[in-house]
Amino acid sequence: MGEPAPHLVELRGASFRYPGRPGAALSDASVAVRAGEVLALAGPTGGGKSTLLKVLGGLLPGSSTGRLEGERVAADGLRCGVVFQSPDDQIFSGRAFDEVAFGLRNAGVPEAEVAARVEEALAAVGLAGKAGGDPGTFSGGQKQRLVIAAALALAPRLLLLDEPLSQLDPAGAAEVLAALGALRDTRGVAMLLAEHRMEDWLDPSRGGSALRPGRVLAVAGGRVTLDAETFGEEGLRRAVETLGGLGLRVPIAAEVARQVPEAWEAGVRDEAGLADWYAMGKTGAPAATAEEPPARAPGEELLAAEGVVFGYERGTAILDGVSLSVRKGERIALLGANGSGKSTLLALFAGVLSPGQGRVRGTARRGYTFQNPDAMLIRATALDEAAFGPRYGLRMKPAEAEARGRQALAALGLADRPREAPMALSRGQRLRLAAASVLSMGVDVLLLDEPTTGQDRVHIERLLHAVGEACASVVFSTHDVDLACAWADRVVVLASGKIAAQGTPAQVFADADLVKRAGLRRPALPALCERLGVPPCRTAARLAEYLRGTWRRA
Amino acid sequence: MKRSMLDPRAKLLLLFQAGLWAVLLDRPEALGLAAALGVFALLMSGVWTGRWRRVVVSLGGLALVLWGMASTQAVFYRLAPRTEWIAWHPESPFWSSLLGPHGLALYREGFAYGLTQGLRLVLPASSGLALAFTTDPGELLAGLKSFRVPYGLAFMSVTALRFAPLLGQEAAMAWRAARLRGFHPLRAGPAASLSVTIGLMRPVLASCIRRSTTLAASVTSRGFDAGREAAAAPAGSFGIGSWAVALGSLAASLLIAAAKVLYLLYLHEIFYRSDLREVYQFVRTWL
Repeated sequence: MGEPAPHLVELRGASFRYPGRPGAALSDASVAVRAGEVLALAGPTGGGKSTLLKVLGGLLPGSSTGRLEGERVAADGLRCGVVFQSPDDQIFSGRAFDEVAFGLRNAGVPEAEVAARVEEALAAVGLAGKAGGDPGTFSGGQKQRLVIAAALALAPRLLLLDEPLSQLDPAGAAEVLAALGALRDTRGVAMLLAEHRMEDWLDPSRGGSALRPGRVLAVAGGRVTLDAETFGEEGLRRAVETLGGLGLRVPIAAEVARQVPEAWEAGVRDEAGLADWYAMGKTGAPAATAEEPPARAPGEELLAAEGVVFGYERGTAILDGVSLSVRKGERIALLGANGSGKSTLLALFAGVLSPGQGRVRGTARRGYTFQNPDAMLIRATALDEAAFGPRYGLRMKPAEAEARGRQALAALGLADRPREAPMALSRGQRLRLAAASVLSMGVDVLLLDEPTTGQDRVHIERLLHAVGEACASVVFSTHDVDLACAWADRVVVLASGKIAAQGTPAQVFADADLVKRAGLRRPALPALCERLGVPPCRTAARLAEYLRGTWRRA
Repeated sequence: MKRSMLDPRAKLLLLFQAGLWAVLLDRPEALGLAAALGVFALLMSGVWTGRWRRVVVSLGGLALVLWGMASTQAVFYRLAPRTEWIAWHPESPFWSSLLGPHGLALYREGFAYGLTQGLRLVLPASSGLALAFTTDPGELLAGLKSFRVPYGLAFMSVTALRFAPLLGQEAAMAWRAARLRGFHPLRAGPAASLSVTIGLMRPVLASCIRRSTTLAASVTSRGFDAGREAAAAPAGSFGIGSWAVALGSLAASLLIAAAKVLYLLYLHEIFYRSDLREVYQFVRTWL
């Protein structure tokens, strides 16, 4: 075994405090990144991942005010490239070439050399030939790869990536991961990648990703709570235990094993281990299906789109003859690649847009939360926000409206924060407040546009549980196939402006061809059920229950 | 963005001159003609880019500015002479005590004065919008750099232009969210409407802060330093069309400036020549 690679950057007892905020965003962090290694950074929303990335990259303090304590030691001449979640907030040029050339020109690189280095950087992320393109016309995956190319043009030895996949569909995410994997292999660029979805990386038996980190860090409450190698069994075990304990996603097999004491005690942490363990004690006793029944049997039709055609520009149809009905008690997940028309369909249901052809009918009261919940938060306090609809929409007296608002806040787990300024809440809380401000109006159908973006598992589950309790029907769009599989009664797949398929999650995800065509990926749980030879289950809890009932110690 | 026929430097020169004309010209007719050119440029930006919505919204905004300035000045004009255009002299003591002894009147001179001031705004605003809608940010940065505008200022101006339309979109989204929750300004009353309208600024401001923080971190990581000069994209070739427009407009500006100076010298009895009487007359009547 050779010498370990030298440290590129190291934090020694680093703490960072933003001005005017109580507590430190990062406390006593000691972390080192070695040349050429790939690290994954996990943690709950608002736990300090972005701050750690920026402090490591030398961007804090600097791009923002604040106080850094402790020490940051960087290798001589270290250049860090930084990529954030939303490419639209980072791209400011009208041509891909200029975007990538920006850093080179700042560095004083001669113009003759700029062109060659821009082409090289674009080629490295699979955008060769796109130099003259307008980034505004690129897909989400292409935009994110352009941002990576812009960072890469300066030949950084370390790339810091802050949830670069969270706004991308599975196909776009795969494109970006492939580009990053190639960069690691061909250029030896070290990477620190903050991400909520670690499950594929922590399960060696699922080789679904082009990039597998060698180490995983976890940050929660501003503290680094885990720094473990993911190639060794012990490191993986620690990672799964810590991340699972933080309420983050872990490989589905580990999640199931956590809920089956015999398996967990036997050291089962991955798919292969779970399959071996189950094969040894499988009794084959109950033949009953493990499929969970729908929470409520679908009732009468509340809302329906009939042959809806819609386009934002003349001659271009985002939706082309879509018909879909929403019944009482249903939870419907809209899936599809970026630009497939999910948000447009929700906006048509909400009445924000009007169809060019066809119609949307139904007298059900509808509530709609935007993809960006912040756009809905216009009042001074959370209670004012939740009472806004009853006060001005339902024309209730202030006291009645306030009571409705308090009820909605309680339903969404915000009962203890009525006087907080909405913008001072965490992102997950803001999303729940936006939903509360709609639910307080007593809606029949809640339409949620991408409620999962940038949220950790705990926040997503809390939100969906609350809205499921408070609302007759829920329609939500998402890229998260695991969530759709676990939570929706019906999955509707949109592709090229049409409904490519709809049915129960089990029916839809069984069609491998469709999954591929629609740019989706198959959820992990059905695949695990197949491997274990058990009936399809929708949630890890259900599968764990099934395994507990059908396994006997030999 | 589709490259326009005019070089960004020629467009910047035109914008500078639009500002100059807004200061030099006094007659509503001349300002109206110049503003019409600015509005024509704005309309042409719609033809060029095919994106009409923002052009229509901009024109609507400019029309409101013009109407607002002309009508308020028509009401509140206090200089003499002034001619009543439309007047209401109430006999009731209540209205007299409320409106004063002269009642309510719209003054012709006030309207013309307001119109002139409004056109002074519309001219550079419409030209600036036309420039922003038809110029690639990189080209604009190169153009500003070639006029020796400090790099930090040039970059921040270009970035502000790039993100400015998003502010409007976000405010519209916040308004839509309020309307979806049943808010209606006419039903809610003026106090609540004002409070909600002010509240719309919250998400817009929050978004501005988030976006600028991300952008600041992103450009800092790419070596941007507002206090340090850096290269911009090399400026393209200055074609014949650009030369013609730049020289033609420059000549017009010089002629207007020279005529105005001669007129002012005459007006203040500093310099007079009888063979320039036609120039004096032209300036008084048209400029």
